[in-house]
Amino acid sequence: MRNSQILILLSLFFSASLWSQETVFVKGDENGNGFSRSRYGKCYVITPNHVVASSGSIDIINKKRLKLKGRLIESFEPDLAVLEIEDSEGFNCEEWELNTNTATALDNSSTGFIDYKDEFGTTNYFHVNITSMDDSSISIIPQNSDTFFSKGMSGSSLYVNYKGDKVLMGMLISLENDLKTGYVYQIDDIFRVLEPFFKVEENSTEIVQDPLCKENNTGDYCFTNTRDQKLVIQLNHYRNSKEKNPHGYKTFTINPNESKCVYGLLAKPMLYYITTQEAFYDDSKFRGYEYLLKAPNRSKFLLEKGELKIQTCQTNTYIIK
Amino acid sequence: MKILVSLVFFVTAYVSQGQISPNASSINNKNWEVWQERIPVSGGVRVGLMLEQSKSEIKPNRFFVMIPDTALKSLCVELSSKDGRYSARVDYDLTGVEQGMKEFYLPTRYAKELKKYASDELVILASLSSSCGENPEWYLISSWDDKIHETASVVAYVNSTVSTSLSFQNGNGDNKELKFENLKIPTVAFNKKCIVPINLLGTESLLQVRQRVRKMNRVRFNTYEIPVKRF
Repeated sequence: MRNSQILILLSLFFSASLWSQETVFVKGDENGNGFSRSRYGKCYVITPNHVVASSGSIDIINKKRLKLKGRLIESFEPDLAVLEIEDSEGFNCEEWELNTNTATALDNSSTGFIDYKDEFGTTNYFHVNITSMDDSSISIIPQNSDTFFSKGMSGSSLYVNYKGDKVLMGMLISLENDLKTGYVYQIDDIFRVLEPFFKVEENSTEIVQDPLCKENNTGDYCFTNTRDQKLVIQLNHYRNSKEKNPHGYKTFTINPNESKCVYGLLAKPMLYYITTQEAFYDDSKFRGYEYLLKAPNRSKFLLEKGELKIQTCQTNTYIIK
Repeated sequence: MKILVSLVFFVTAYVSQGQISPNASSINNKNWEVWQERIPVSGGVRVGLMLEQSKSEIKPNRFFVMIPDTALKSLCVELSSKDGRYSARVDYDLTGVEQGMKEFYLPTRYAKELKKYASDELVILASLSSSCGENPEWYLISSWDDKIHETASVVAYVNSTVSTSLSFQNGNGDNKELKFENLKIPTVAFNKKCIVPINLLGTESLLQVRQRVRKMNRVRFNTYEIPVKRF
């Protein structure tokens, strides 16, 4: 028992998946849990809809006891909701995908553990046996007869240890009629349901042909903010290097008073979407928001009154008015 | 028509015997109360605050709350069954209601199911606030019957998976700490209770539910406050 607890702790702290998703406490109309996922640089929390469905205000608390405001963005059948964290500064939020071992890990696991947070950010976990599964759900019961599922655990994460890796298997939703068996949505089904929301579009020629984009196209970069209130930046060249950026991407804050060089190298022409506000050119609203740029060329970002300047670190400056 | 008149008379007669009816807006949506076979496991730590019950059986269409002298007019009531199958949220307007043990009407559709619960298996959490949905300013003591004995005790019901205690100051200003005891499983909505003799509580008391948790080899206490007002 003690060894398995140590194993779980090791998985919790050293797993490669640690930085992918974080279980958080969700305080809506009901209390529950959820896990974070990023899209276009914005941080979202996936939680059961019944936790937040009729909530006036939503708080999200992470393991650092950071309390953030959440907003219900969309509900999905049968019982899922996506919350947007309104100001996610200081919150570690990653854009993550399904672990490639998910299906294999599930097929080869008969045990797992439930990971949930309380209102004070404390991580709790307990061991479970996987008793059955179907295409979209997993049934689990606690291994220890003194342990039981109780209110407040909705949205907890089910993990299995697979080859030393902590693999997310699903989200606890409810308790069966026997009051012992937990009903878990499988993570691949959650991904399927939420795909329309989290899908990151890449390499779309449609955007390249956008007339506004063409009008403002200055050669290396192409900008538009007409589509879904998002700023789209197309980086058409990858000057000076053939290497990929080993860091993947960097998150940075555009601030009128400072500029940053973002180092990154493009392997191929790609499209990147940057979430922004409707009033993109209003610098008072623009201030302080976090934007995400994946592997750009060496660039410098400056925000001056009414203009965003994007400048390569070497030569060119591009101005969006 | 005759049936309708009889029904109106029956409901009026039933509700009018000193009972306070819920705000119509809070029961317009049929989801104000739910009975579930597959039980969503969302919920909070504070679940019930009641007088220790002298009788085991309950009458599901009514309950009592110790209403203090207050300017707050929104009484927000939550009901939870221990097995988690039943839960309800309903609001009452206290305009014109004087202090005392007051009877409230619960228009439940699940009276038949609720009758099967013992009085400590279906618990009530009543709170006062300026508007339901906002944070409660005071929690009030509820009961399934209107008898208050001199030796009565108040029972706090919580949902807590770790060692938990209740601390408060008695009428003399002395600090008291009582342990929560585990309830018999199955316990989904609440799993611990703590009994406090009512004479230890003043008319306004701050109860603190303290969970003992361990994080990174350090013991820490999570505290949930229950400010209680009574007459």
